[in-house]
Amino acid sequence: MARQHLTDFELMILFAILRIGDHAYGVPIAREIEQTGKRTVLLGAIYTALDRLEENGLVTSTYGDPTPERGGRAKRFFKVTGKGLKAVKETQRAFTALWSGIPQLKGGTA
Amino acid sequence: VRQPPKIASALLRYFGPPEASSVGDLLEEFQSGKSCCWYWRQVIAIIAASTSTEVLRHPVITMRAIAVGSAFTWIMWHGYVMWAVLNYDEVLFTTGLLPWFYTHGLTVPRTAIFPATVVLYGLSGWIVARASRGSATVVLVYAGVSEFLFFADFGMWRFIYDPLPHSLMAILTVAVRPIPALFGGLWAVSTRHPAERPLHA
Repeated sequence: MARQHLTDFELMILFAILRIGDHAYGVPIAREIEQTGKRTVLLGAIYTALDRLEENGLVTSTYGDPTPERGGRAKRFFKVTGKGLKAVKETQRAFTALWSGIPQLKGGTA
Repeated sequence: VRQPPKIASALLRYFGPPEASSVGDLLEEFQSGKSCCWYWRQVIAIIAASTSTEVLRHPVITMRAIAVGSAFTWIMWHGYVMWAVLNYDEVLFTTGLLPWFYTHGLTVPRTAIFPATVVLYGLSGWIVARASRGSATVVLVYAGVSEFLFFADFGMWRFIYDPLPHSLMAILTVAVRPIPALFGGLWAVSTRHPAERPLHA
């Protein structure tokens, strides 16, 4: 059976790509997760997750132009696909359903 | 322009992903002021991620190359090839081919097992690289796996039963053995003919 919902890390990456917009590549994605998500991330882990998301059709990638400060390597820009957006919404629904009705989580933050 | 740690960059060049954008991201972050320690941590993570991805994408080629390399070393040890090399004088004497060495006491010193092992594992790394279409990642996996296999098969008993200094020699042999396997493999990778199709093509 195909996996229906995203892991928390995959979800964070998709959120980061959506927040950044058109210029989402490895470095800003990592910064966004670190700053907004308050979580230290490794670039290798981000690329592994991005490759997995791309294989599942949740993101697409295109290459930019190589730049000198990157040692002549091109940037790989990512975009969330329609399928990716649907997966985010489904995961959000699942989390919300699980969240609701738990007395310990009612009122205020944890 | 800051230069990133050379050894880490070399490791990334050999064992990192074939697709270069993650390496570019790493360099961009390093140029923006990240520390060398950060760079090393990221390189190790990228190599670990790239290794697992490549092994999962090509499980048959990886397993076959590791099996061939392991079979080679196993035959060399258990087929008495190494023993024959290290005790060539006795072999030549008992087979009657050339008894002169034995009668004149020209033997190989016991410590020769150390360089002989280096050559053997260098050769096995070379074989693994050739069997995996020049994949440095498979060589890296082989170096790790061979360490485990060797210890399970042979090294553990030497630690238990051999008196010193043989145990010390066994420790040295076990500790440095993956290094010649890595170097032998990387030599094969770097000398691969450009016309040969690489594993990740």
